[in-house]
Amino acid sequence: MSADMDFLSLTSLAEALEKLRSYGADAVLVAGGTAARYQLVSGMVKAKVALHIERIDGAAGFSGNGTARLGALTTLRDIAEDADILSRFRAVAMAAGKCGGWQTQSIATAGGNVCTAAPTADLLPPLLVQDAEIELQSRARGGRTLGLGEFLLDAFKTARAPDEMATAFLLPAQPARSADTYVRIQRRGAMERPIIAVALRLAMDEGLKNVSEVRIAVSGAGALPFRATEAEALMAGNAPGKEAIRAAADAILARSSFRTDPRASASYRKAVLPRAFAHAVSICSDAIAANGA
Amino acid sequence: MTETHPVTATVNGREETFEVEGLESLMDVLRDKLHLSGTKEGCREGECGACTVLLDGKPVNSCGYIARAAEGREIETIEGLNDALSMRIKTAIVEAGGIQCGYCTPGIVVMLSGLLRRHAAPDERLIRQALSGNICRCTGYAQIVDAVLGVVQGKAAAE
Amino acid sequence: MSHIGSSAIRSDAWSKVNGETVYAYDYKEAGMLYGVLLRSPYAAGKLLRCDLAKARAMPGVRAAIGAADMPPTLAGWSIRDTPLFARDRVRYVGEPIAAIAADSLAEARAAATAIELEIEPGTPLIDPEAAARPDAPLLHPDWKDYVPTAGSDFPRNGNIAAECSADPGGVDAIFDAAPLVVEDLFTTQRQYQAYMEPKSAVAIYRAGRYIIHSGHQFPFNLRDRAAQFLGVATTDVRVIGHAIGGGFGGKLDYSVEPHAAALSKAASGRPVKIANSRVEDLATANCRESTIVKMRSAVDGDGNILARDVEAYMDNGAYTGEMSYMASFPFHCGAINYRVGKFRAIGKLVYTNTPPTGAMRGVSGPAMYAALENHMDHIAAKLGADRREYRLRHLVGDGDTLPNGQVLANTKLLRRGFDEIEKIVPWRGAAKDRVPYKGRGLAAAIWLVNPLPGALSMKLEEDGTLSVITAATDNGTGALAAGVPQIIAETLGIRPEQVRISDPDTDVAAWDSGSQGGRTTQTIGLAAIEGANQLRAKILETAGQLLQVDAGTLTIDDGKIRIEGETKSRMALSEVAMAATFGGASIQGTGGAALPAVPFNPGCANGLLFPFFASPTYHVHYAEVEVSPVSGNIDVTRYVVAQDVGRVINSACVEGQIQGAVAQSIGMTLYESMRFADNGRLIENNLQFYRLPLAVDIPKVEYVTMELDNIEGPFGAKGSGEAPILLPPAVIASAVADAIGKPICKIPVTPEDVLEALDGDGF
Ligand SMILES: Cc1cc2nc3c(=O)[nH]c(=O)nc-3n(C[C@H](O)[C@H](O)[C@H](O)COP(=O)(O)OP(=O)(O)OC[C@H]3O[C@@H](n4cnc5c(N)ncnc54)[C@H](O)[C@@H]3O)c2cc1C
Ligand code: FES
Ligand code: FES
Repeated sequence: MSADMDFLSLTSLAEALEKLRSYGADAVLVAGGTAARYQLVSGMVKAKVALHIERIDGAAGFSGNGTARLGALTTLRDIAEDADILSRFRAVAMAAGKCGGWQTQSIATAGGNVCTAAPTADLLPPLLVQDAEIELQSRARGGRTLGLGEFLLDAFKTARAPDEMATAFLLPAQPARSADTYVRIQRRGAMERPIIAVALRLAMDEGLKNVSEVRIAVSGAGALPFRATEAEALMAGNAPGKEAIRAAADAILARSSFRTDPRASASYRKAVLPRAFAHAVSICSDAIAANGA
Repeated sequence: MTETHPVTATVNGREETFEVEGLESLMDVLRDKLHLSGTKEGCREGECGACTVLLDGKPVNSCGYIARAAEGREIETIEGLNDALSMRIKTAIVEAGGIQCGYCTPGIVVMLSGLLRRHAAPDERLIRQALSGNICRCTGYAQIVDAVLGVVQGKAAAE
Repeated sequence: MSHIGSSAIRSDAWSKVNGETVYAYDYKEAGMLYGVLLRSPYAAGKLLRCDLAKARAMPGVRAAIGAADMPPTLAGWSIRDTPLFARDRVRYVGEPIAAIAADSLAEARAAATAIELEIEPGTPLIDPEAAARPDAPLLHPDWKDYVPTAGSDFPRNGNIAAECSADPGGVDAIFDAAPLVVEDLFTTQRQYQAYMEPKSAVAIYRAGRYIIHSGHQFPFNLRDRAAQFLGVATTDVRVIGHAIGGGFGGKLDYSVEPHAAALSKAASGRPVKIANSRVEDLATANCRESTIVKMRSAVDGDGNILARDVEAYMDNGAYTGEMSYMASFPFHCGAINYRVGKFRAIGKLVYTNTPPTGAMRGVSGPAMYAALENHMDHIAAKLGADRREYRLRHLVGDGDTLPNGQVLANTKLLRRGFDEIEKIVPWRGAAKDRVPYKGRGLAAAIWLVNPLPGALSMKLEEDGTLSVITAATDNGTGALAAGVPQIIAETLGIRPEQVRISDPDTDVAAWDSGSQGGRTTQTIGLAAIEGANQLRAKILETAGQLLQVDAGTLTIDDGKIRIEGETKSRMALSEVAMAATFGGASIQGTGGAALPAVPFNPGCANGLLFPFFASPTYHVHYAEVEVSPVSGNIDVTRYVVAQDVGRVINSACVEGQIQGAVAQSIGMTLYESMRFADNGRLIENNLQFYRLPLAVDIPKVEYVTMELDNIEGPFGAKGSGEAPILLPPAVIASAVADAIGKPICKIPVTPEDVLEALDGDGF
């Protein structure tokens, strides 16, 4: 155990970036610490110094019209209860409200959720369907933004350089006549990692007949959550009827792989994914129809 | 001996300085060093909520919280929750029979204080959601939820 | 004002809600060392070497012990088959092999990893049915030499640790001739008690005796067991109880206490604390057993059940504990509730390479009633009969007997249970009433109260309050924190708050049989009435002398002595107490009780270690569920209970027992799962995987208590804590089967089962 690890509590971004510059790969960032403490105690992550960034000023909050900015240190509970996020990026709020209990959500941050790159991380699918970008800052090179898909390399692996800190997520505005949702398959009503999760953003054409664009992200069906681009292409331009849904579901399944673990069997995951997807489509269609009416 | 580091935080309204090892949890510090054993240990996994404390007013599982991250912050444990709102919650739970073995009770009271500070009038759904990180194996939750609803209604009536 | 039936606040409520209560897990002693157990990583194997020398030399280590340091004795509740530390073979993952005590927990853990261990792994036997086959390798090659703990030996054979069987003859002929034979196989998994406080103990070896501090449901049993393991006289062990953070049967036998005691002796008497981590607790808890129940009925053209045949396998795990008694339950519950002609049954308790199972609230009842009631559904379906109507038609009545020959009385409560539920939710079981994905279930149960004895003593303090000394325990039910004080207050004419109940201490209090089988309110309540009546007589006698009136004219009212017919009181109880105490002796009383034995037919079965249902109670439950065609998840949307309680002593406590037991049982039915991989490792090995029901998962239960005075209970009360756990698996499985149109024959019922049964792809 890293019993003798240094622990530095930081209060400003500049200070954090400075420390990251000097410690580099020897440092581990700790935001809420809900995942980091476990990673360190179990030896999964090794570091000489922990940089505690939970209390850095100005890195939390949701702002901006058009493209929105979600600070990396925004807590999941704040996200879940933010009326603006709920109305503009519903799936993100829904996902945040399902990570662990309130005790975890009170301190767990969006940045920590994404940067862990856990296979079941809840913010990933809803951010993926928004084509969200992650903003990374370093002392040496300043800021850069990266599509989330490029940022996530593999389970527990990201494109973050050792001296970088994630500072925000940028979410482009949703198109007209669109809705998003997050369908999370879980056994109990709370305190579960998702068995399968589907985030969906559906946009309809002017007549509300055909799909103008759909984005689908799935977790629990591979090493990391992924965008089901083949399925997206199949649905675009068509009415979201049974046949289109079935074809898209088959395309999702074609690039999925399923595991059996103590939470659920591979065969259940496989059986439930198309149903979760179809359910997500009907939620979004209904929402768009209700708004249009 | 492992190296320790002094941490100073406000615990139940009083400034305390304690020695902490590496990644030692806030729960262990509270229970073993400050002798505040009202914060219960049920799992050390973040699954049961028995160890819930308020950190700057927000409910947190102390078993998973790095004690050194509490430097300079305000911690409230069950022993310190004697404000009017907490007293109403405690009285309601006692009167509703929402306590059996009582091992989950401190964590639940702390969680509910956190909830009612943030949401003055939660409905049953929100109460149950907020409590979902607190496992009670004895009561089936009904009398606890009834107690909170009573507090909410009582407050509404008083206003 | 009567204290019976009120919702008096339990005496420990404020200290618990304020976080002041010190549980066993919180308990510390000055100079205390920290103990850890080295547990077997294998489910089966030869223990070739366990060398503690390196561990002993580690920093901070004060003692390291293993089998070689202990007397070669075996211990056990019903049969002495259990070593304290594995000696030459290991029989389950988690079995203790050695123990370390050190100045700190970290040092003890480090030393445990330094123990040199050599195990030659064997092939574990996990499936009880396979282990029961005559050619299966024996878990206990020496089983014949094992000695029953008390009384005579019972039927056991190789891997069959206990067997209870009954065969009246002629059953096969009835099946051969019957127009309809209905057959089912029903399986249930283990259930972890999951008390929120993990098990722990602090033990001290001092002046030649062992003192054990524990949060235990049955201190005298722990005293026996620890003495067996340590190889000392029973009274060389003293058990002192502390607040219990839940038990549910899981804290009735030993766990880490004897290991801590042995470590303390090895560490020259330094107090040693061993506290299970949650993961350790889950991995080694004496869970409710898993079962395989095969049930067949021969039915005639009118739907009468002519004969029934039951064969059940119950997983004993590697050692027996009290499980040999449970082998009687397939016999008791295989032909209960409804009339059955000839009945043949066999219950086999089977050794496997898994952690030893034990009693959990309602013992084998939830599994047996799930099998029985879903079998009844199946028969009704075959006959095209309505499930409710079919049950009522064959319901037992007064004068009918249980399989053991015990004659039933007050069965009108069973019928009334169905009526009470009908008043709340009229039954709509017909096909035309079916709503897609929604279902309902209805089931009944007859249950018992544990009849074992208990005694207590009490004294009137100088201030007029009362102190009760007892080894009975309150694991959260309120039996001692509310029920018994109310009973005493009612008997004596004081207030419940004036009654103080001691923590248990086996050196001080009279024998008590522990908080099990819903017995405490009933039996200790009866003992308390006897004690309080003695006290009352002495108080009135002393008061009579002081007031120079005939004691017969006096009464006690709200803690004061009054002459009958007068309104003003004459003196306070404290004055009587002072006069008695300083005039010679404090006023004291004692009481003891056990439930009367019930006449039954001793020839009814072979190996019936648990012979009868004392103080029978009657129960009917109803559930509505909705299954999700998306996920297969099952939502219990409505739950209704009609429960026979004798008389309610404390309404808040009775409600708590019902709400809590139903929640726990919904957990068993829908969320909790305990499976072992082929290598004997537990799959659901932490609280993320072992899913306990949460506030968002459990509906508020609607309930009616059915009151009918029970002459065997204090103020008519019967034990009420166990029975509500019996039926949720039965009614929920039945309701899910109703919702999906296919039978359910396993517990837990999972979303995987539901999706598999649903037709189509859900689009
Ligand atoms: C009981 C419990 C239940 C949980 N349930 C869920 C769940 O259902 N779904 C789910 O998705 N997660 C769950 N989690 C995991 C975890 O809590 C969340 O992923 C959480 O969002 C992590 O946020 P944090 O601020 O605590 O991150 P930390 O633990 O502080 O950090 C996590 C990782 O991210 C890195 N990191 C943190 N912030 C930044 C940053 N700004 N820039 C770069 N790197 C950073 C850290 O170095 C670390 O490697 C659960 C955890 C617990 C304890
Ligand atoms: S002990 Fe912290 S959540 Fe269980
Ligand atoms: S009262 Fe026992 S766990 Fe809640």
